[in-house]
Amino acid sequence: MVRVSRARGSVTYPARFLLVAAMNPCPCGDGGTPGACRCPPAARARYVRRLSGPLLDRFDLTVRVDPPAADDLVSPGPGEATAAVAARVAAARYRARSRGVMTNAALPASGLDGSVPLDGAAQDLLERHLRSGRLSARGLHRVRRVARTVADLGDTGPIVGAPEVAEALFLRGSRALLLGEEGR
Amino acid sequence: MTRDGPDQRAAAAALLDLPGMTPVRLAGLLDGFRPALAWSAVRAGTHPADPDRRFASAARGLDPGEVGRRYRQAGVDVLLVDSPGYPAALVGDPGAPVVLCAVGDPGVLEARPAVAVVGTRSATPYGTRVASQLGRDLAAAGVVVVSGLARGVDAAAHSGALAAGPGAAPPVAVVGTGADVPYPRENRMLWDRVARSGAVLSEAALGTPARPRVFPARNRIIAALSDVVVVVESHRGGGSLYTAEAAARRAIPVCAVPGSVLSRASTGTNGLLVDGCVPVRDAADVLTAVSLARQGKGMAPPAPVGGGGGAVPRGDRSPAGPPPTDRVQRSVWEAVDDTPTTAETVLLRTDLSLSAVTAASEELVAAGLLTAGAGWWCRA
Repeated sequence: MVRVSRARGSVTYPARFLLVAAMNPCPCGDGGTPGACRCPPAARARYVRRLSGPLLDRFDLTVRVDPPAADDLVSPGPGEATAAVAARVAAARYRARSRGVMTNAALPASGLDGSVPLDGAAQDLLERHLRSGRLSARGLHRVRRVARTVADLGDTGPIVGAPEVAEALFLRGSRALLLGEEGR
Repeated sequence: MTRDGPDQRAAAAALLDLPGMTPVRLAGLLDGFRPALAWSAVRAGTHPADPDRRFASAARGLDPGEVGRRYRQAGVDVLLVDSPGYPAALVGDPGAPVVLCAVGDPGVLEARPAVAVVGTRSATPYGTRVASQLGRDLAAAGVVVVSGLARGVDAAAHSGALAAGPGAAPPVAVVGTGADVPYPRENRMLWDRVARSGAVLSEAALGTPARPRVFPARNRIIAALSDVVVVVESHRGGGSLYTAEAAARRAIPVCAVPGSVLSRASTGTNGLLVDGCVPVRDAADVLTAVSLARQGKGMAPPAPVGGGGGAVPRGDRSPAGPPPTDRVQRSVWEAVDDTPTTAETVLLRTDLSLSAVTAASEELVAAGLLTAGAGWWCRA
C-alpha cells in the first residue's frame, strides 16, 4: 500500500508491484567478467555506487545477460516453447495458492518453517552463507521464498533441498554481480 | 662527498618542486649544472635551459632549505644521478631520472638481480595468482621484485614478494605519484610495507597526484632497474606493454606468461609471445632468463637459495587437487575453464539444471576446486 498523508487527511492506495530493472555492469558494458572490461576500476566503482546496498539487497533475482554470440543471432537454435514455460509457471502458481498466497513472495516470514521446510543439507548451506556474511537477515527470508518457488517450478515436493537453496542463493548474488567483486 | 651535501639535495628538491617542472625540463636544467648552481641561475633568470624564465618567479618564492626539510620530514631521500645511493642500474641509462625520490632503502637493488613483474590493473584470478606466486618464489630466490604498486598484477606481485618471509629479497616499487601519495588508496598498507621492507621510488615531486601521463613514464624506470621484465597479463595496448617496449629498447629480455587465447586479459601477453618474447611458466623459468641476461652482461647469476641445486620450486602447474569423484560435481568442474566461465556457459556445456549446477559449485568452492565470482566460476 501507499499512504499519502496531507493536512486534510490521508488516502491509502493499493500497491502491489513487481520491480524489474536492467543496467549495464560498467560504463563500457563489457564488465562483469574480469579481464573483459577496459573501464578504469574507479570509473566502474563510481558507476555501480549509484545504487545503494540496501536497495540492491531487495532484488531477489539477478540474471546476468551476456551479449549473444554471432552464431546464435544468425541461426538461433530451438528454444523452449513459451507455452511449455507458461504451463510450468501456472502449475507453480497453483502450488503457491494452496498455501493461501498468490505468489510465494507473499509468504509470511513467521510461517516460513512450515511453508518452506528445509532438509539438513539445505540448512547447512544457508548457515554457511549467513556465517560468512554473504547473506543478510533480510536475504535469508527472501532466499527461502525463492527456493520455495524453485522447488515448485521443478515439482520437487514439499521439502526444499540444497539444490533449490543453492539456485536461490545464486540468483541472489546481485550485489556481487554489480560490484564485480573478486572470487571468494 | 662534499659535492652533493644537503645543500645540493635541497636545491634538487626545490627544482623538482617548482610548478610545471617535468623530468625532461629538470634534466635540461641539471645538464652541466650542479643543483645549487642551477637553482641560483633559475632564480636569477640566467639559466640557459630556461631562456623564457618560466621558473624564475616561482623560484624566488621558494626556500630550498625549507623544501629540503619538508622532504626529510616526509621520510623521502632525494637521490642525484651521480651521487651515492642512486641505483647503479639507472646510471648511464638514457632515460634515467636526474633526481629520484626514495622512501626506504634503494640499496637493496645493489648486488641482487632484479625482475620486473608487471601487468594489467584489471587482472583475472589467473593473473593475480600467477603474479603473487612469481613474486613469492622470485623473492625467496633472492631476486628483487620490481613493480608499480598499481591494482591487479602489480599489487599481487608485491604482496607475493612480501609473503616470501624473512631472508627473502625485499621488493622495490616505482610509482607515478609523489613518493608520499599512495595510489590507489586501497594499496596504502601494501605501499607502507614495501617502503619498510624495500623501497618506493618516484621521480615526481612530493604531493604529485595521480595523472594518466605519469604512469607510462615511470614504466621506463621499472624496465631500466630490472635484469628481466615479466608481463603476467596484459590487454592489447595495455600500459604494461610500455614497460615491455622500454625494456626491449634497452636490450633487457622481456618474458610473458602465456594465457588463454580466449581471455581478453591475455591478448597483450600472448601477442608478446607471438612477437618472440620468452614464455615463462614459473619462477624457475624466469630465473633461467635472469641467468642468461646476467651472463650476457658479465654479471653473477642469481645464487640459489635454500639447500643445494634445484632449490627453486617449480610452480605448481597441476590443478589444486584431484578432480571430484561425484558425477555431477565432476561434469560441472569439467565445464568450468581456467578463466571466468559464466553460469550460462556451464549450463550449455553440462545440460544440467541451474539448481544442480549451483549446488555442485557450492561444494566445489567449499572444497577449494573452484573460485566463485559474480555469476561466474573459474578453476582455483
